[in-house]
Amino acid sequence: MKKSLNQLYGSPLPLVVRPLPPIIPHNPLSWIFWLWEYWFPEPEYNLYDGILHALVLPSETTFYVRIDNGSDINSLWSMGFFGKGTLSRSEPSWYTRTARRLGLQGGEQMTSEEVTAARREERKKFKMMRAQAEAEELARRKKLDEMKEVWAGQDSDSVSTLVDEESKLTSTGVASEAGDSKHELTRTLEESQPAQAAAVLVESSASPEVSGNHATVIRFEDQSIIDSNNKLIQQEYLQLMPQEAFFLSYGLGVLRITDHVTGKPLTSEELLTRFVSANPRFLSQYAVYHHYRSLGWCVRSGVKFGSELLLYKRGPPFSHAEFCIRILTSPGDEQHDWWWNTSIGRVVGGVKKGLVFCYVQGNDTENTAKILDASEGYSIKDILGSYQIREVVYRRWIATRNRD
Amino acid sequence: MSSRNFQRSVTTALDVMAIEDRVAENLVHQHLWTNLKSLNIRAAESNIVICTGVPPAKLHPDDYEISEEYVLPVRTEQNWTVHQWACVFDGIKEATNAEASPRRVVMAMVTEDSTIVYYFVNNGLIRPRKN
Amino acid sequence: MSKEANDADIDVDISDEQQDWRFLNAIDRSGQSLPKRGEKDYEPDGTGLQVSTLAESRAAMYKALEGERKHSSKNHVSATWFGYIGKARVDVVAGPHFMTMGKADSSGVIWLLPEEVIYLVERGSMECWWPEGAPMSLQAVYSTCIKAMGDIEKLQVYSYLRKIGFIVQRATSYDPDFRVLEQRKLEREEALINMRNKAGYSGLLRRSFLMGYNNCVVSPLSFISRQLARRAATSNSTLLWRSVYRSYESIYSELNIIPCHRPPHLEAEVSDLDIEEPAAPFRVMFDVWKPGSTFKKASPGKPDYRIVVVSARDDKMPSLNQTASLFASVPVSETTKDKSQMQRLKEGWRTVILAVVDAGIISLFKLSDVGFGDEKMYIRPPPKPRAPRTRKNQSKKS
Repeated sequence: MKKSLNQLYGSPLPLVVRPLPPIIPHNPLSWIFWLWEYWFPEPEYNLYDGILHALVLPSETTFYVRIDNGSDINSLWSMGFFGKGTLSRSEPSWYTRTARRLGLQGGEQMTSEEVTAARREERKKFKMMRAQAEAEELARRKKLDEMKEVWAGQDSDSVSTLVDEESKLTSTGVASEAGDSKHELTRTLEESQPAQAAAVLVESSASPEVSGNHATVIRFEDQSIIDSNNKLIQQEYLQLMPQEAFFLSYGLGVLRITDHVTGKPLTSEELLTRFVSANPRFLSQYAVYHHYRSLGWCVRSGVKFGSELLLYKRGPPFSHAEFCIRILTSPGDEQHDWWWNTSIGRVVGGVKKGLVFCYVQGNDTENTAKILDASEGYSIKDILGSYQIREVVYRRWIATRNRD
Repeated sequence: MSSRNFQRSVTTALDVMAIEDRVAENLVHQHLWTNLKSLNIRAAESNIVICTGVPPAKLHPDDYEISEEYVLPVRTEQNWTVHQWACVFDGIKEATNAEASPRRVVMAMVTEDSTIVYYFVNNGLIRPRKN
Repeated sequence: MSKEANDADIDVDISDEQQDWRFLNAIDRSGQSLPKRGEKDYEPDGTGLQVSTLAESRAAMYKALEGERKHSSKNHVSATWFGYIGKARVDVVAGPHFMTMGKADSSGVIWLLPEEVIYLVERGSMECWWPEGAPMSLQAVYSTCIKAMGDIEKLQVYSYLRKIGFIVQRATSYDPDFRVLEQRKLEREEALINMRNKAGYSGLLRRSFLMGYNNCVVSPLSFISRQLARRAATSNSTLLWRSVYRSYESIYSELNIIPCHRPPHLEAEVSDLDIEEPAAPFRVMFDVWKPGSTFKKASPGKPDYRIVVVSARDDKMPSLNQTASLFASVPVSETTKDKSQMQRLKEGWRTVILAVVDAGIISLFKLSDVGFGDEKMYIRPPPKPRAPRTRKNQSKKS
């Protein structure tokens, strides 16, 4: 039986919650049980493992945290949707996808990438049909021109036919017949719900017969990723961006991060030192990430939509992101010009999300110096608490649509 | 403009992954490109590594056929000027001993969460897409 | 509901596009209904059809422009411009315009603001005279009125909104000497008194305790546990430190450490009036009412929208402080509290409309004062009760 999304992704965070047992007033045993559970709870605690890596570029380095263990990846993804598969759009699905492509063991399930691919294929077909309709329309117009030329020197009867013919094409006003028929086709095609068609495609390609018919092509590049037992070797891992890694390790305390170079586990301070030294804006960016996480949002990178963060109500499998967060530090880079504003607004509006300018007030320079200096102690909580956040939503307002 | 972005650091520690390896790996295993190679070019008095490879299908509907593509790995934080881009196009022409510089380069923007966002950068004006 | 459905195409503005003037012909012929918009061609295809369509459209435009503009002498308005006060005195009052325009002084004489003068002269409803008794040319009206307004952008926004049917009034708060935040304090006091009379203190006190920049309410009991938590936290190990959590809610409330802005939900809760007065250009310029509203000049009531006018080339986006002053200068929306959580986050508690003008092209933005900190996503609405599924129903389906 297929599990529901709620069953699969029940926990919003990778933490175990132990509710207290119920108290039944007329049953004293339940009181004792409650008290016992209250005073001596059995700790349930999962610790996940990650490794801090550096990604280098000439003259700059950034850090990311890598999770290799399959069950850790699973937990961090399914409880709060942390990280991203390095070879997938979001959830690590490379292994399944590739095993299926190469006809190897482990490719039985359908991945979201394949659903998207099917939908794109359907879209492509639609565009081809539309292009064909447009080509036919052009041919029609050209034929009309030819007819006009032929008839130009002929008797008045034919000319009146021509006029009739032409008026059919043009005089019905702006929406000519030809335009109408094209419009009709476009509408029918657009209404044919690519999503449903995609589901059909997915189903058929998911059935073993069909995929069996499909000739498996093993590229030269694939040879090195299949072992001697004809098993696919995992090439993908889960990558956490610095904000996610710091939230899981410092915020929730569920991630132990080891330095790749020294092999030693890193304390929260050591981790923070690395993050702030690589990115002078890390603290304010983290404050924003932490803010939305602490309100229960699923927060992911918004780079594809020209913004820093995306907010999902529960997570990607449930619905599209609701908001794009663009971080502005105040005072500092808050006063952009209107062209900048409109560009972002159009991108975000085009994907039907809300655009939020998130103003962060705080002193990154001073705080970063305090962390890097480390001679006098500091409290991470106090440093984060010194940032203040205020959101302003910008939306294009169309006067003619707000008249009643 | 400054050549800061172009200078490769001399000490590349062994434990770290270079950005061009990231892009090449992503192209081969996520996007199923083949025949990936790296091409060292000289642009604006510095060395840049470019990935070349062949995609499994036409990248753009108006493409005539599938052909070898040039991919420039960059990071989100970098700023690119038109002059730098011109140097990249010239640099590719020089490094490949070609008659002309390529009509486009794919910019691969590597981000902190491992997303790589790919953009076409066309050498000059192109006809806009119809639909 | 239908508003939600409209959301999808709400960002499409047909006025962004070049209009096809043949619409006018179609209206002439068919009378009542507007013609459908046709498909647009991608590029010139060299066919006769395209050429004739273009010619037809152009001819329709000329025809429309050629149309004679007539004025009935009954509605003829005339005014005299007084440069030293920057207003025009209406000498002959006629027509329906003065229901929504002009302001009468104590002696009953109606005075027009420069934006109103240009609007009326431009549409041919009024002629304007110099005090010396000479008629003002159109150029003269433009140059004097623009000068009196300070810049052309405000004029463009005014006439745009008027032309599409809105009722537009110069906001009283626009006068730089008007202390809008002082006025808002009085309004808040009034709302406070009303509220006390209605509901007593308790509700108000509870809410005002939550207001402004504070993260959490500290109850005496949780205070002790917080003290313990604090000790652990300052040792910088991790933020969450307990070995057992009884609910996700307790986890989230312990994670809540970043102070954030909480917009007021009621007029009586407004607490951010002790900041800088909004200054030009980020100051409300026009109060706007929807076309259908029963507007009375004497008692206009609350406007539907408040418009700020900025120049795209001279002004940048407002800073956080400028935005804060602007929001503080407008009242709390009365409808927000009844909206869904997602609508509250999208539409906010206080709103202003920014008209950004770039060489005559007007882009409008709605700015909303929202508070994500007030909307906890981890508290889910209770699940809807499921309709009991009977066997009968199931067999019907299959």
